[in-house]
Amino acid sequence: MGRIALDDEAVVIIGSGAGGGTLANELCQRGVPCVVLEAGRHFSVADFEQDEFAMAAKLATGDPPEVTSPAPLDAGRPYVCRAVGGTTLMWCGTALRLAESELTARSTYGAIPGSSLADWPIPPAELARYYDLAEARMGVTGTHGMPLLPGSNNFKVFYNGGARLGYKRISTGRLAINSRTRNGRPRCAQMGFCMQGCVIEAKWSTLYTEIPLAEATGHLDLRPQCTALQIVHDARGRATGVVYADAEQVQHFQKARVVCVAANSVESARLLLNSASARFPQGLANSSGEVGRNYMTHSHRFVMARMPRPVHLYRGAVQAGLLEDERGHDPRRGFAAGYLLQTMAFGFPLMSLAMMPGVWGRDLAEFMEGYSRMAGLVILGEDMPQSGNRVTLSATRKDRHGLPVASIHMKHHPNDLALLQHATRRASELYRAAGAEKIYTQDSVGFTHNMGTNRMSRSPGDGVVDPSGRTHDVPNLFVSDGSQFASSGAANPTLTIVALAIRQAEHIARQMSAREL
Amino acid sequence: MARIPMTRREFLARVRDAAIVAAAVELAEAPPAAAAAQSATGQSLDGRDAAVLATVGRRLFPLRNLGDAPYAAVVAALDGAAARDASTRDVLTGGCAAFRRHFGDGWQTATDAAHEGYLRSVEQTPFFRTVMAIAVPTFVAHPAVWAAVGYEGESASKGGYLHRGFNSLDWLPEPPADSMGGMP
Repeated sequence: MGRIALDDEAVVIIGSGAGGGTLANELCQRGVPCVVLEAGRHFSVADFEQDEFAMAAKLATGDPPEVTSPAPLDAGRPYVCRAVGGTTLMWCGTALRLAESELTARSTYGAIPGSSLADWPIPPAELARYYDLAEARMGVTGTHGMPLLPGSNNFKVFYNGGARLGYKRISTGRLAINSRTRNGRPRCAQMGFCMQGCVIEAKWSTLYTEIPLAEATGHLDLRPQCTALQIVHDARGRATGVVYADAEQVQHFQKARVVCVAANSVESARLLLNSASARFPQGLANSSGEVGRNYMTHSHRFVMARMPRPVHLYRGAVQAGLLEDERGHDPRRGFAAGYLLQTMAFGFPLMSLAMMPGVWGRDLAEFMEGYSRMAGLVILGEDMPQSGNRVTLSATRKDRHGLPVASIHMKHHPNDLALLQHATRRASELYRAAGAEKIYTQDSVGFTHNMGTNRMSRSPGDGVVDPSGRTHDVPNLFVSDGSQFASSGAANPTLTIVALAIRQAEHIARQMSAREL
Repeated sequence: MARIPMTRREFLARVRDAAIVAAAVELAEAPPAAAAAQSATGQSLDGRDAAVLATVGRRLFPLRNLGDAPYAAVVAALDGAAARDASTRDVLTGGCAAFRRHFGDGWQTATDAAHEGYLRSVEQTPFFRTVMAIAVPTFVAHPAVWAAVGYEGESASKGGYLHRGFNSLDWLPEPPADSMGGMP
């Protein structure tokens, strides 16, 4: 493992998840020395326990944000991982491309009042190559010769209900989970507990793929438990390095030739806001005022159905089921954009907490006694970006370093609510068609998809970064995570984050070779 | 009606994450709970309060065909929380005393419905919220409850569910071959 001195101007990457981990590996493979600052611990797979509460405690993020959102989103907060590997430790593995209509959301849907809808400033055809590379890298089922995963009991209920409604695009889906041994990792053993860390490494995670590959080049200096506090710039407006606190809370300054921020959408925006200076009083790289704004989380609602006979939905990969018929723009339904239905499973403990909050007595007992007959899915709806949905800095709460914590303000757009209403109705009809006795619905309080807070734009006034993810204001400062997203689409964000990181690495390496960076 | 009205739900939604999930996390980090056979009054709460809390637990989670162990574990967890924090102990003892006062000397012979009705009337109190925040994570993690509801828990030690019923459902038609991969 390479050791880079604090005075060496390396590429400094903040975060080691899907964006930061992939970017680090891509650059290290090209001989570019990288320091990766990761706030969380460096776990090994031996640290993963098939216990929902224990792993939530282990992977818990740092200081919880302040939340000023009105009900019903007042209970919502990010549910992401602070650890080497980031949220790739606990993601469910769904690896879907954004559709062309979603990448051109503004052009496709038209102006939606109250929304800051925008097109991505990258031609969809250009992204296709990088999606292909990402799918090959991660090993996505249904692509590059990787077979689909087999269908679980939960999938059988899902498929039958969907087919009886006339849906046609139902399969076990595109997942970065090995269905056969590949790249030294085994095939899925259908254990469940995908969100608690894959104990056999069948699910792709940068923890045991990109990070060790980068380390093997000798060019990676990975620093776990190192929290970036501030990005510093010089009189010319170039980033010069990153102030960070190590595990003992001692502060250091790592010089940087290039800085790449990949701390997930809340913390990436917060870091830029906390790096305000005389030249950037609104926050570093925030002359547009868009840092922290346009925060998107997808509309996520669980729909669980008690069937007349056993299902045991926890047996197997939790999200190996996908229904895409309602994806895409069809305004005849009464709203813009579209949604996915994806199978979803929880263990008994988490399902009880997630689906029946505050409920007790006979209703709770009936739910619990029906657990072995539950089938379940999650609605993933494209949500409209809104300028007022944003991450700011708390005026009152500070972290242990004296820096303001993030403050989150989110509300649904009317289009989000219309979409969710339609999706809930269709999901309920799906399960009734399969014979369901009773339907339970509950919005997810954990935001596991966090996007948009450093949005990509062609014009500097409209966003934070340009089409390569470089900030408009600071020529050697990049954003490398999902905060770049200009729209949320109806797709889990990870594949797009990986594709963008592969593309961004090409760009950074080329510019460094040409001494433009 | 069992579901809490909307205004209360909004209130509970505010405390839900902070209380119940935080309690779940705290319980996951805490030392293992006392064995079910151990007296629940070993740490902080007296026998009278333990008896009330056992009854409360049975009204919170009125599952059928479930033995005593999960309810004893709930009482033990509440007792442990009371031992760790004086204000928690005061809330719990105060709430138990109010419960007994409401019913008088015959509280143990009042009907389940009467007990439930009283608890409905105190749903907004710190006593009830504190009990729920600790009781729910304890109950849903208990192995006897898992056995009763048919949840098998961890599977890694058994090689996963691939050959142990992951696709054993046979009361619906099989999805077509092109919608899913084959079994290895």
